[in-house]
Amino acid sequence: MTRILVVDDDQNMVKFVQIELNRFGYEVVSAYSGNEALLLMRTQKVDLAVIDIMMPEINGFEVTKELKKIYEIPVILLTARHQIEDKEKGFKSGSDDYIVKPFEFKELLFRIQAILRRYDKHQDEIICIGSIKIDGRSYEVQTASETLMLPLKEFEVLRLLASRPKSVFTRDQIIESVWGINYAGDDQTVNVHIKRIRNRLSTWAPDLQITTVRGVGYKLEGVT
Amino acid sequence: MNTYYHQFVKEDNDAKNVAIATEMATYLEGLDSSQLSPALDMLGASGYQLYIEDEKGIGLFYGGAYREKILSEDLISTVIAGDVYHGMLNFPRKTFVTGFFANELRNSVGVPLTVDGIEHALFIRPNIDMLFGELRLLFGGLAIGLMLLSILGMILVAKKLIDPITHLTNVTKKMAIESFDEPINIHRKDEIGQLAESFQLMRGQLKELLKKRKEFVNNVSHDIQSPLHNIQSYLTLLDQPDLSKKQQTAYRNIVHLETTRLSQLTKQLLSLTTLDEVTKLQDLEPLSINTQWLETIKRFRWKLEEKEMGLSHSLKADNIMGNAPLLQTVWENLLSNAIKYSEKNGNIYIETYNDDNQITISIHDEGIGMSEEQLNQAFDRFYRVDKARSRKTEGTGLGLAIVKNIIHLHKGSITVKTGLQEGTTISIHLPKE
Repeated sequence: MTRILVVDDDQNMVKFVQIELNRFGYEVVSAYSGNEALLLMRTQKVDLAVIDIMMPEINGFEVTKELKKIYEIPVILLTARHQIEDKEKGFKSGSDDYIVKPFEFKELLFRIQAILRRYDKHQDEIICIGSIKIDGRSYEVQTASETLMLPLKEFEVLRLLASRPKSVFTRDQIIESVWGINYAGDDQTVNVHIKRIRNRLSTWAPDLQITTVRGVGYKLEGVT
Repeated sequence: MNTYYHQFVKEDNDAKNVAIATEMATYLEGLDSSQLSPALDMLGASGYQLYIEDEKGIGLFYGGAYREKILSEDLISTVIAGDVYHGMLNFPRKTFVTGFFANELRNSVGVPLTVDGIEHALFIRPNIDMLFGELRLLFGGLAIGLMLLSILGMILVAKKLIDPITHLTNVTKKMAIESFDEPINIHRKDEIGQLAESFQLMRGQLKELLKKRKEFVNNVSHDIQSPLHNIQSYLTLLDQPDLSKKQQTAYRNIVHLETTRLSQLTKQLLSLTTLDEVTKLQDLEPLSINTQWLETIKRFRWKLEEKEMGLSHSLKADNIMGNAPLLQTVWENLLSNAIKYSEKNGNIYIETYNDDNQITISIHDEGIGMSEEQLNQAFDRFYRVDKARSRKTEGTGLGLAIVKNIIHLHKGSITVKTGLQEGTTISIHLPKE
């Protein structure tokens, strides 16, 4: 089970996040100060930390630096809106992402999932294919003039296909890689996603296309 | 007038009177001494003041006494001796006293005359009092008449001035009790007319403002009441003992949605009223619209994910001067709208670029779009494209009103290209300065 450390001096905030994360199947350890967090880390194995910047004694940046140096776990910083300039400082201290307070829980969940997926699969490389560049770290696709953001699943399908261009991927391979072995959805899911990616590619990267190999699966190739 | 008399009339007057006196003397010389007195009486009654003195120094007045009777005996003697006295001609000149009217013996003409062998001196001057008495009355009457007439005129003019002002005052009083339909019947081309015109304009605007305010309050109460009502109803439903898990979740979600809406509404109302008070922006700073957009997109990425939407951006605009938090609000409102009114799986395109002396930010969605009629109201407060304030989409109907306000504060403009089911492109143009 994935264990998440939540650090904030606002106890109600921490409790709320804990309850919500539990609901989505995450285990949560909480700390109300930087010191407490660092102490906790000595005894607990944690997969990801969500840390508030504004804390007494040791602030979020310091905690992030320590955590990154010793444990190398992903960190999401919480920042108030008026200190949004701090995000640069946050990235320098090694954080992977940041969220601006007040936030909706869904936003936090989205970011936690995105980061965990990235760490899990070690897919932060950049793939260049045709006129586009697929950035696994930011989940963005660069074309010559634009930056595209695809829904995560579509992005991952595209990235998978682009990882070995012109090779055919079967539906099962795609499902296993993108949705996970335990995925209980139907076969149509892949078809639907492929169709959507095709639509988007046709406007943004018309030099690429996904070809259906009847009875086998899909491949990504340049238009000739 | 006095000068005129001295300059031109005096001489004539003297000569004329001397001639009359000479005539009188000739007439009197033909009488005997017993007839002299009645004759003089008669002459006196005919409009002359006469003074007659004989060689013995006995003088008599006829036709009213002179106001001043200063004339040296020597002079009278020379007249008795046969000289003619030209008192009128030689009457000393005084600036403010018209010599003509000076009722003095000095101001007369004297002629010698002999009655029954006795030498006399006859002094005459026209009896101005008598002659002018009636004229004076006439002039006096005329003067009083003129005065009355001018007072009447003034009253009329004043009335003409005051009437519209009184009228305006009445209308103002009516306005104070919120009655705006009293007609203003002032049709003039002068300043009062202009005043009435501006007054009418002001009244119209006030009426409109009041109407808007009432509408606004109505809207606010409606938009606060209905979520509260929903919360109450669904909480009551949740109290029922035999609810399925699914129902419970559904009801709770509704309560949650409504509280979110309420919170959003109050926040936006606050920012709108704050914006209403701002007429000129302060704390302008150089800022990168592109960075702001990246930030906004990042914040909304999970919402895009929820609807499985794609987004592309090409951010190429230069930095401008602006108020960072306010503009950030604009981008957030625009992107949130674009997502809200898009179908699942839709795409959003965001573009910023330089455009002569301004920058343009355009956000295009493939969503439900707006009809022309909807577009006309889109920037009004509390207007929501989803009819009947349906609760299907969240939102308060204040987002675009806030956008408009902030963009106008930045001296920018907004253009919209849309059509039903054709998606919407909103372009913001901001001056580079």
